[in-house]
Amino acid sequence: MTAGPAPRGDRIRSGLRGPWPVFLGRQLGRFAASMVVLATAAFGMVHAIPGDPVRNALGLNAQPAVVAATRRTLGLDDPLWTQYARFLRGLVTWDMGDSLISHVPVAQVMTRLIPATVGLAAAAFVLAVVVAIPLGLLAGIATRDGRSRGTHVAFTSVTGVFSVVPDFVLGVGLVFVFSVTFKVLPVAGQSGPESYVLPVIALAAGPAALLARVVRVEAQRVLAEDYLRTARSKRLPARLVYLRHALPNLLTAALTISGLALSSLLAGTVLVESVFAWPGVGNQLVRSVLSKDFPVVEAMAVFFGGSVLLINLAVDVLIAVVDPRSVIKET
Amino acid sequence: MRRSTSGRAAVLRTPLGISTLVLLVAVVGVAVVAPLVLGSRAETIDVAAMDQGMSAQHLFGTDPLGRDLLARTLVATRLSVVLAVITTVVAAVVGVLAGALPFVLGRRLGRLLVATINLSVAFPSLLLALFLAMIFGVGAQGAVLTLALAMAPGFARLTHSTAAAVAGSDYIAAARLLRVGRARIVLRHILPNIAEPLVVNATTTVGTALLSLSGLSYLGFGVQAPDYDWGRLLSDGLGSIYTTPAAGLLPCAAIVVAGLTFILAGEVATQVVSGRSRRRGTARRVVTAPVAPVAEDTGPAGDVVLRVEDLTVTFPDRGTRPVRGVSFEVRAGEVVGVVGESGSGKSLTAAAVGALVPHPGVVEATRLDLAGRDVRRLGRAERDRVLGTSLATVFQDPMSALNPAVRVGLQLAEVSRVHQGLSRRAAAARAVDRLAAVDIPSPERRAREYPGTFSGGMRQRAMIGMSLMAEPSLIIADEPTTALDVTVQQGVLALLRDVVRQRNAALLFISHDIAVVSRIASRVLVMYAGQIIEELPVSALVDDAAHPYTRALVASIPDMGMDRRLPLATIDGRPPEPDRLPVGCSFAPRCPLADVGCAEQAPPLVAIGENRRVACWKPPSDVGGPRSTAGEGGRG
Amino acid sequence: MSVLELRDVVVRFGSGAHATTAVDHVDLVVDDRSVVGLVGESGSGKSTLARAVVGLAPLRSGEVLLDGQVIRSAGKRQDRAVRDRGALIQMVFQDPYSSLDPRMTVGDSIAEGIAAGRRLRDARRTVGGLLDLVRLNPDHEHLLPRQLSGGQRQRVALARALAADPEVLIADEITSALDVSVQGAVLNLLRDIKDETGVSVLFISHNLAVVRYLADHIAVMAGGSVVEFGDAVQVTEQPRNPYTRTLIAAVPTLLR
Repeated sequence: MTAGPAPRGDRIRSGLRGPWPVFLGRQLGRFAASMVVLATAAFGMVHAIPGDPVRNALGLNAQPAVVAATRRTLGLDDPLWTQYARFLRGLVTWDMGDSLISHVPVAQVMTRLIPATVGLAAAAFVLAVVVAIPLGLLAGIATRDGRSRGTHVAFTSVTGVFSVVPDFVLGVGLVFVFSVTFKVLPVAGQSGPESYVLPVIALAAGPAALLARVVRVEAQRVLAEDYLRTARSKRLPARLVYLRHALPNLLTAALTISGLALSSLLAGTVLVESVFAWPGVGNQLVRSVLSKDFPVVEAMAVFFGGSVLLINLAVDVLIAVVDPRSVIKET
Repeated sequence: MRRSTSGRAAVLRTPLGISTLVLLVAVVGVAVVAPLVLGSRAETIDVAAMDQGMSAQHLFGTDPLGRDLLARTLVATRLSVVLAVITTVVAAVVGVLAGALPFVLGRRLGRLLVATINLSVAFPSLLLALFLAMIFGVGAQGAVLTLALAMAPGFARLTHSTAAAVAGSDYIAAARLLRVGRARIVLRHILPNIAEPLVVNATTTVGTALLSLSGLSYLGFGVQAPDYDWGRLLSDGLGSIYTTPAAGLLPCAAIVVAGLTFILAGEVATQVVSGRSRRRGTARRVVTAPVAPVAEDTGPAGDVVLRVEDLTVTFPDRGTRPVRGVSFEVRAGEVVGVVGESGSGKSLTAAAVGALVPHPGVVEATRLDLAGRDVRRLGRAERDRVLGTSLATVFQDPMSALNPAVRVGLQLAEVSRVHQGLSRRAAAARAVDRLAAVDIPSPERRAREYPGTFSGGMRQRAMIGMSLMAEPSLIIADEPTTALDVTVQQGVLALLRDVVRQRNAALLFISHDIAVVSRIASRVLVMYAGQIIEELPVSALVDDAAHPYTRALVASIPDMGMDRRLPLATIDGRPPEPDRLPVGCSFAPRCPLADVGCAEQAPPLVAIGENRRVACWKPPSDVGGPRSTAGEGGRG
Repeated sequence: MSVLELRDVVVRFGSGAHATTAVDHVDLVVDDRSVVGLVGESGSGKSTLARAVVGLAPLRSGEVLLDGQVIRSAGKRQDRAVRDRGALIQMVFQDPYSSLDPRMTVGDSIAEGIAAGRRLRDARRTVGGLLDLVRLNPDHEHLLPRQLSGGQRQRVALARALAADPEVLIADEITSALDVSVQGAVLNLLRDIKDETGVSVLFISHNLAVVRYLADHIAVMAGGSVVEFGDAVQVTEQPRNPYTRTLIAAVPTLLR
């Protein structure tokens, strides 16, 4: 009674009436607002570059006339808010100007690179989830209430090491073993399906290990709950105890961590694509930042940031689907 | 204090603690020593020894300028570690300030800042750092700064959430009531309580920073030639992975070892802080107490639903035996109350009957018969069937005993589906029927709902309904009304009473509240320190209890009829810890009647009349009619 | 002479359609040197009322007076002197495991109370004297809360509150987290302290039998309102409100 108002249970209804429209509206609104903040941050980033960004990019030896001409083409001499409006409009109409270095339209660059990166990240994510969730659940069951110290130690050390080894280091190790020593898989580049194997494993290992650890801890928590004791007191078969009573209660945590894993996977593409010379956004991002090709970097900031926001949105909605109570909490 | 400090030191003696300590000393030692000893070897260009493989001269070969790879990797330790530490310190300072700011700012601004922090935590720090590099430029300084800024949100959120939890605690409320100043509250109460998680997080962050900085250097954003850290070495060596693999693999190994070291150190720090290291190999010897004999073979065995003889529950890991030789029986249609304080072993006794003692507890008994079958001798499947149908348990907290993610109807129906082979439809119909039987309004609708929509009293009714799915011969109710309001309590007690009467089931009713027990039970078992110390009919509870503990318990409870001018009776001291049981009577240290003899030998539980047993050397002589002489015999 | 008076106190949480009224227009008086028992079930608003009196929950309307002087009122922030006077009302919380700072020794915790007492009314109490008052061994001064049992912690919390030399003590379910055999000792202690120090007590509990043992007057709360107030004997023996009667009937008493 000292707590604030508890949500009244009787308002809970599944289905698409009740709190759902409010919930979805609020989530979408939050996403849109975050996107605007993100775009503004990307725009602000360029204008926070000390000195003249064009001279910065073209180098100190660039002819003043060329610099001035480039500034004019990019509209950098216009008032700030005009530039801002143009930038936002460009994002919406998928027309973000040209690269300073290659003079190719940024939109074209992005259209070419995005599928490679998304393909890599998606494959790695699926692999991570498919391996980690069952593994974590089984480990959680095996080590519940402090059972089986051996399994516990083995599981935590193996997943611990994999969650620590950075993806690019793992990538180098994999290349050394499978490409250099045994010569069974390609060293780099995107060619056939076999070219996916090493980068996908390098990307997936860390997030998978992290996810498996969290699922195990969550499984242990859920298995210690009173309602699991109730289920055991009913002498239900193990299948029902774990799948019906335990699993749904750890989905929320698993989804949350999966979302984080996907975000960190996306960040990992930068390094892994660099190791494997993968023709994706991450690899290009490194080169564009180093060459200060800011129109491209701006677009990439929006791409990566937008992906993270989209993942968060998807996780929130999915959690609401599997656990209707969270909809009530939100509204 | 004693327990926790030794627990803290013990963490450092575990294999994890020892190996972490060794690694940490090694990494720091190399960082300090290597540049002094190997500095020249690592940087002298030797044209004669370019790109060599392994040799005695150069253990892991040389780089394209003829420099020793191993020496370069070891020397790079210092720069790599120092940069990681600086990054962490900057990230921590910025993050802690940002996390504390919302408490100082106004409500609106504070919320905006918290929202910003929460949003930026979602972005992987490496990605943030790359974009920040646009502004801060490349190089070691830029990398440290950008990464620190990118990692700061993590610290900010940790600071904010732990501080918010501490700020909302009762002890802060108490300090505010004492008009303790804001600054002092922050310094004396909040900071000390959030420092530990922050320090632990910082330790781990050194590891993550080291890994991320290596990544940045590898990409060309961090340390620039001629300086070198591991990331730089890796990026230089990767091109020659076919010719001199060590050029790439050595820095990889160094990055992994050092990263692992700091992350393990964070893990160990967590354990030290929470003091929850397992103390292994220190299990104390189990104190064995004299086993109480069963009073006598009372009544015809036919209607005995539960017979327990010499039941013990032992936890070998802790070296404790919280239930020590308990014997009793429950007959059909009877309500037996079990009373005791927390730690008396009453709930574990019930758990042992239902085979629900938590791991690694060991249950032993000479007899454990449920509905005429010795549960211990049954095969697993048969035991599950007997326990699933003959026994039902109602637990204390109905808010947590029902699964929040499963519809109430299904939680009831699955009992009949599994044990009685009912069809889905029949089981669902039975569930609705049982919900109706426990007076839940509109049971069809309620069966389709989740427990979240039920009030506490309704949930407990649903639990009782669940216990009726399979016509059990014994219902164990473990503190079933403790979590409920008194007016709701009444209804639940009445319902349990009806259930016993209508179905001729037996009820084992466990409670710490002797008044509640007296309202429903006909016979009472009083437990203390893992043993039954008295068994008596409820009618004898108020005026005719034999054990001093029972008498004190009865007298210490405020009652609507008691004289308000007199102080409440109290029992000095507290129950013995399960790992420090006295040799003699376990109640002797608190007993006003105890003498030397009581402290030397534990009294056996002896019969002193029909349905009456007591374990006391000095029960009042006027209790329960003529005294059995069995009690005198045992005393040496 | 110190009287705690609540006038038309309203506490609400949330706003708009989600607003709930936890305390609904409550008037209550705790006379000098008296114990008023506040009894009710969960959700009745009794703990929120206590928190509102000490300023831990905001008043929507109404005021709290000490000796006829307004020390708290809705929407208005009182000046410092008045707020300091608020410290003459102290509170002991339900859960002794969360109401003591886990990193502060018993002595340090109590010292905070002593400092408050010295600042506000030049009270000169000592840690030793206070430990003695709550019947704790003076050696306990250097212990941390985790080294104490629940009953001992509750005594420390009591000592800290008394250190400020309060006029009014609010005890919010102070025995409900304790074991039965410990509960009686804490209740006896509270009664002795009241006699020794003359502090007025607002004693909150869900257990009518416990309230009856301590209180001179009893207020019964339900749904945020006080539904019955009167002399303790009269309320427990001749209740006028039907809800009070239900409550009395529901109290589990030993079957004699």
